Amino acid sequence: MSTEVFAFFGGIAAIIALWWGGTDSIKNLCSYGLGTGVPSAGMIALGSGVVAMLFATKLAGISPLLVPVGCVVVAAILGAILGFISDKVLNMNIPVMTRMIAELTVVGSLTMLGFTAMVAGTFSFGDLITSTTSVLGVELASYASSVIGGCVLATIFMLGAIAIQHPPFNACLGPPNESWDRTQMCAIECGALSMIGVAIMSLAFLSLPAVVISFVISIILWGGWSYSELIKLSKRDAFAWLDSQPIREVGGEQ
Amino acid sequence: MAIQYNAILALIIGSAVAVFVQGVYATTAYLGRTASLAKFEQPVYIDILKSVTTVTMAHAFVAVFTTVTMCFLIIEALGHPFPLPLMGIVWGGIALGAAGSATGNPFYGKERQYQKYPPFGAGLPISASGDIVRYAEAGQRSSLDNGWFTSKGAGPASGICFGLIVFFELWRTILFEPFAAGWGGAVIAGAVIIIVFMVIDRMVESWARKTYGPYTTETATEEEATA
Amino acid sequence: MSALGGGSAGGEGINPAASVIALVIVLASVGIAYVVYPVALIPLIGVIIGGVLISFGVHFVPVGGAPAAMGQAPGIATGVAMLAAGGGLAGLFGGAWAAEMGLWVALGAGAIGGGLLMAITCLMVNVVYVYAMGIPPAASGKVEKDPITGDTYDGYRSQGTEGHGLPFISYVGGVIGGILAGLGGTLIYLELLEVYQQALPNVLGMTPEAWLRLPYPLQVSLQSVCSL
Repeated sequence: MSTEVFAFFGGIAAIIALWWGGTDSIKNLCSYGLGTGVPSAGMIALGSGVVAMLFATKLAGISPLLVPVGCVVVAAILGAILGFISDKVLNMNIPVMTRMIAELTVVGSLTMLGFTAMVAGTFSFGDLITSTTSVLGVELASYASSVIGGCVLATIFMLGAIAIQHPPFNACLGPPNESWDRTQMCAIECGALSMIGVAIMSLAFLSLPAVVISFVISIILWGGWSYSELIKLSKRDAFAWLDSQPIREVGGEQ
Repeated sequence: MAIQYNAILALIIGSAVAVFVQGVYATTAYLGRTASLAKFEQPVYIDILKSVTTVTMAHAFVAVFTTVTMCFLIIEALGHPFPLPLMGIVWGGIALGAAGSATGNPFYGKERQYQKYPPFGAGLPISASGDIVRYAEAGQRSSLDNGWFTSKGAGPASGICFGLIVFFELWRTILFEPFAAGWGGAVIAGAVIIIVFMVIDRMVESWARKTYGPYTTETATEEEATA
Repeated sequence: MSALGGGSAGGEGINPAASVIALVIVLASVGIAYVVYPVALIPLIGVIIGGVLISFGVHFVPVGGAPAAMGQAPGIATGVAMLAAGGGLAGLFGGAWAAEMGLWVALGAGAIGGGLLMAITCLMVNVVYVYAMGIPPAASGKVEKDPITGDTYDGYRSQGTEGHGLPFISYVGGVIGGILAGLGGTLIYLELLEVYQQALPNVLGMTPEAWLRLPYPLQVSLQSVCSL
């Protein structure tokens, strides 16, 4: 058990990363008329983020504290290269492209790292690719049921990608009456929702108390705070909030 | 993955979690998008949330559970080397998404949103892009009608498309793999199937051309299409 | 917000200085890989070729997007990220299954898998357009004549649109795009598999079956990057 109970901090880190990058960076990028490019931006953020994250987890061999720092640095370099190529070589000519793709890559890698830490309770590469299965009472080191080998990483990838894409692309950003605090709250809500999924997946890797703590905190973050807050903000911004009424039977003739 | 649950139970629990996530995303997408459109006096109808969300969640459960079960069977019964989450992304996330989006979107777009543009059998003029149909058979049209229409029209079309993909992808491999040192199933049978589909597509296309004919005479110019 | 920074003005030819820099970056990364881990050089080149194939294949896919869904433009009514990733991953599904039969069979299986997905999707798109939505016949607004079948489109476009449906040349293009995407995806997978098979037993002492499962996270991420 030990430090496993603090796994939920990974999810909170991912929410903060999403809050920063999922809204702000994509908003800056989108102000150059990149409407349908938002899903692609989310995918490239997470896709290159995975590479940076996997590289950074190798640094845990030196010191675990190096992992998040290395993650940011590697992702920023990778994102700057990708942004440079899309901006200058592919001639998209969007002035903020290099910086925003770099930011998005950092966001993607931090989201992946946070959720990975939450699901596995660790972010050292060695622990991520091995896990112990007990078959008939014998403890066996198994690769196939680890976070990376079992491809739980793929599920985290999709949870993070949807959480980045949803607030700007599907939900809030774009139409004339979009309000910034609502978009940000939507990003937090999406992060907390992904956290619930990750907490359930961590059942396979962590001890039961750690899972319960992660799950309860995610539920509180999602339902207790962000979702109800998002509903309130939507109610504030909406033109009208029409609840349906049953059709009244009017008395009298006809 | 130390826990050894019953696999069928795990499939159901996993699908239920996925459906929960899908339902929440559906509500935030509707609320966020509609609340941002206050300038166009577009109200938020709560009965859409109340009635459509549960229905889409039910549809999502059917889709997710069948897809995950299919992926589980491909791995367990047919022995594919991929782990289940990746298989779910390949088939459920991407292939079903591509098939469903490609065949389902037209129903929602042309068929439902622009029904008032006759004649039937013509594309929508670009100048009419934003002019969607706002009144349904009874009262205002809302997302309720779209849900009914897409589940009736688009769902089966997407299902047939995805089913054909899965079926032929597995069929060519399992049935023909032993022939010609792997070339038989993996490549030759697949290429034959692709050519057959190509021929069918050509037949559909030329049938449509012959049956419906040109809109105008061949020499007419299309430049005066601004009307 | 879109008025703030001005629109993008992309696509006016190749920027030579930037291309040279990008080439240097690619060569530098290959050089670093060669210095750090020489065995990985050939697989790295394979991965790069696979990425190029996927990116190249993406341009063949007839994506129509929302205008296609409204019957305003020809093509498949969905996004390019979805279709390219779908073709690549469906190819990968077939290729991974044939991986033990040798490189060329696996590559062929992967390519055909991607092409099969595109062939069926494109056929269903045309069937939906012709039999369900009633926007027959397929016509393109960009060209006057189908290069393969020789059909003319001029009179078959309905008024005010750029064409609709999926002409036969787009169908063939889609299948070629799917084949290239599947080929590239399978090539990346096989090269990564090779690296892991050489490198990991020394590191971890794993069983052979375990190797088969390693490349996927990287695979998925690389493919999503390439399919932009």
